[in-house]
Amino acid sequence: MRGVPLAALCMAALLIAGCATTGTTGVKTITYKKPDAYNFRFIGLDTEIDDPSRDRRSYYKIFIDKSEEGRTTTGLESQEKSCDAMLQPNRHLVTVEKWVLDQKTGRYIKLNNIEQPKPNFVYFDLPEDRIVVIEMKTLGDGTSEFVIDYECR
Amino acid sequence: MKIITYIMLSLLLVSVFACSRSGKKEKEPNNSFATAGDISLDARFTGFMDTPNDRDFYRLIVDKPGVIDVNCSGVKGINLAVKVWKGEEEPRLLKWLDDNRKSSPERLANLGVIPGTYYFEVLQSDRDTRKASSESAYELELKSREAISEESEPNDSKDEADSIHQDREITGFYSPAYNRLNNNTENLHREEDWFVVDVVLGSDMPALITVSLSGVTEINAILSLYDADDNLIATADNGGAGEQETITGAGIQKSGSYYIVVASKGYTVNNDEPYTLKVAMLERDSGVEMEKNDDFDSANGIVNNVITGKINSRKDRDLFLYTVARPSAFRIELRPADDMDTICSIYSKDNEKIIDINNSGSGRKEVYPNFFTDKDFYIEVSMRSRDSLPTGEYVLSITPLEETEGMEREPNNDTPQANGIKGNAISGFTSFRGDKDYFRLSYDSRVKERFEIRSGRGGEIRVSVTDPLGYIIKTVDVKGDKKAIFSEMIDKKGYILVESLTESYDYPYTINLRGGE
Repeated sequence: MRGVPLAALCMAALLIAGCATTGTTGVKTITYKKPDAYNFRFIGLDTEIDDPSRDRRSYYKIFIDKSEEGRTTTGLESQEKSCDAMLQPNRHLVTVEKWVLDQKTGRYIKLNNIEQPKPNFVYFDLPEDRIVVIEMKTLGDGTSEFVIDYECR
Repeated sequence: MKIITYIMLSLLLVSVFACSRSGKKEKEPNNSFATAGDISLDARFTGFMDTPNDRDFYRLIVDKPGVIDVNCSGVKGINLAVKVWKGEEEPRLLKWLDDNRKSSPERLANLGVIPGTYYFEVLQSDRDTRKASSESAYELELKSREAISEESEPNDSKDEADSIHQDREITGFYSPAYNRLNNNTENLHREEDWFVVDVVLGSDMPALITVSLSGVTEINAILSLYDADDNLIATADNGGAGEQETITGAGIQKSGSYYIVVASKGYTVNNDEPYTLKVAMLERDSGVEMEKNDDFDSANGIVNNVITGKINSRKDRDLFLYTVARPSAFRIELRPADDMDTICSIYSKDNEKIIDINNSGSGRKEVYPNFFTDKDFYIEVSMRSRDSLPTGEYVLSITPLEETEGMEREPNNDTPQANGIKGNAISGFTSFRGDKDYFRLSYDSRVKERFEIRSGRGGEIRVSVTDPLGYIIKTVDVKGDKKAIFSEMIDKKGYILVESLTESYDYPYTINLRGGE
């Protein structure tokens, strides 16, 4: 299990290059967006849903360092649902809990543990003057992968 | 010689006994008015149905007003009937006694007579096969008495109604069993006693009339009140056999004649025990309901925010009209009699039902704490039909409430009806059992909102916050004066849903918001 977040972090490092632009002099310049209202953003979605009848309305409850921070917006499982927060620069643990709508009761209910994304957590470092964006994609078999990035301008 | 003497004595005894039983005998032919035999009061006359179609006429000359108890004994196996006629030249049929049973007597306990000629025709009913009976005699007896404040038969229709005066009692009998002259299809052959009371209203104020009818053994009575145009004003049919009936506080809007009808249900009869009928009038107090107010057109206006009333029958419904001076919320409270389980319904001015209020049990008040409207509205008071009739009165009060910012406005029972929120505080009532109150949250951006909730004293509520579509995300239960605080993300739009777990109609709940800071 440890390997998965690690792989994600590695992937993030590669993706940071996505913010780089090449100037006329040929020097690459990386421009990151500076924190204002938030310095942490979580985005969650399911990527392998191809049947609308299985595409439930849902949201993720977000815990930072084991303390409830809030929840994402609501939307279909296949849609991006996000949540922002302002955190102290530090190394943090983010844990997610997936909730889906029970149409019979008109109420969101927490998915059973067996149906929760696996893994449902990732550690990340939040530096000064950066906005960390963590994207969690859940596959059809319930496994999830995390992509960690810095938000660019 | 001894034997002959013995036979002679026996014949004499038989003869004496026969004379004493049958009194005077009819003399045939007496099959028409012209050949009618004369009879007298307080004597017995015997006769036979010599042929199946035999009719025996008897003539009675009356020289002073009075009451006659007409009694014709039964003949075994024969269904007798008696017709009573009045007039010498062109006799008019007054009563047709026919209880539709074989071998039973025919009785009319109180035929009212005035000086003149009366005919009594004894015949066989057309309800059974007629047959001759030359061996068994019937016995016709006319007992006379003075009339003392009692009905005078025939009083079977509006035109024949006996006069009754306010605050004076009059008596009558549920007699005879059937009235063959009543061809009203709704109450075919029902014996009815009609009375008329003349009402003179001294002022423009309406009056209330109360009609009381005593109970009579084995009689299940029905009492009705009509105006001169045959409009039914009120009916009392609440008691069972042997129980009294009362029409209480029926409204009299104008001077004139009003008609009271007394009848028994199921053609039951009691020739021996009279009923007592009494009428009382009261000037109408605007704070007291006035029957008939059973429909929207006859609804009583509520003048000073309070009115008392009474449910007079299980089917009785009392309607009141409240005139709204300015848009406002109103507290509607109905305090029933101790033995009454009321249903209070609110209707719009267009006669459309808005809500039934039936949250409490017998003897407990029904409350709608904050009915908001800008138009006149109706309130209907009724009772559950399976309950016994309440003895006491109810009090209905409507209290206009001061406008309070943030106070909910019913109906707000689903998301399309949700109340908007002005300011950072809302309050409301659990208006009825199972009430749901929706409030709409709206912000410029996604915010984390803080909710501070207090339930009304004695109540318990469940408060939920929803997503923009109204699906519940978070729920807390709050009981009594305890305070609950929580925060929840609002995606620009959402709803607060308040559900009642334990109703409190007297104390509102409150929810304070931080305003999305």
